[in-house]
Amino acid sequence: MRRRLVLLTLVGTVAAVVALPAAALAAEADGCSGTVATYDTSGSEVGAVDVPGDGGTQADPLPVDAKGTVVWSGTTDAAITNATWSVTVGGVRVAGGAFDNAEGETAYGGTEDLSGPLGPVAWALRGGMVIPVSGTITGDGGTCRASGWITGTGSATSSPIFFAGLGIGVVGILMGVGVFAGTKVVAGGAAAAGGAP
Amino acid sequence: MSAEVRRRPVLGFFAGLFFGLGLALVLIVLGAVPTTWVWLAVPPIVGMVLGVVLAYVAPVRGAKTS
Repeated sequence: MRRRLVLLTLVGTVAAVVALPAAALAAEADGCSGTVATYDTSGSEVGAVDVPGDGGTQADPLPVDAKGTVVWSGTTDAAITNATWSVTVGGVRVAGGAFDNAEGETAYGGTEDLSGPLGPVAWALRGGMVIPVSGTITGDGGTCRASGWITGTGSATSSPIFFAGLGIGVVGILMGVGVFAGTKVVAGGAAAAGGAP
Repeated sequence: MSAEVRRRPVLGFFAGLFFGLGLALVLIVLGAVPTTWVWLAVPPIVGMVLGVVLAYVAPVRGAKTS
């Protein structure tokens, strides 16, 4: 009975993980298009991607130096006015705002210094982690939605999160050993367990 | 004198929590899974469930006499 319970639990766990909704596998854009290039602190290009395009996928994410810069440009299929915009990283909204675009422009561009917004978490954005990003502009005249994948720079072992994960995992294993070692027969029942005599 | 099996479900709960969280962090940094809240939350939750289940099905070791 117990073996069956354990087997069912393990099978259920594997099934739950496999059944998790699969994320988008390519850089996509709807209602707009553009290009993004990333640079490190020395000014060398780290990566570039066209959206929509072949790059910036989960299998081939766009490398980003958290202390570097991003040069971007894009156009919307139609002039979007009285719009709100937002950017999400890893499913978390990290930036947003609103603009009126009274001139009816459809072309945008700029250079963003990442050391400002990402400076506090630059230490974490290392290694091979693949992070989904998306941006949305919604307003009068249309909607622009774009999504893709980015990754950090450097090796996995350069990230303190890697060693934190190892440490926490080892603590969990040691506690698991304690679970098995602490499962035993005690004489006296509740009294031996510290309960009422 | 009656004998009783003492199990450690609470310890199993936290063992699964820590192991799952550590596993999630390592898999995320290695790029094996996407960096999303789902993948950060699922392994610890699964670990907590498995930890409690294992605590209740773990083999009883030896006997303590007093």
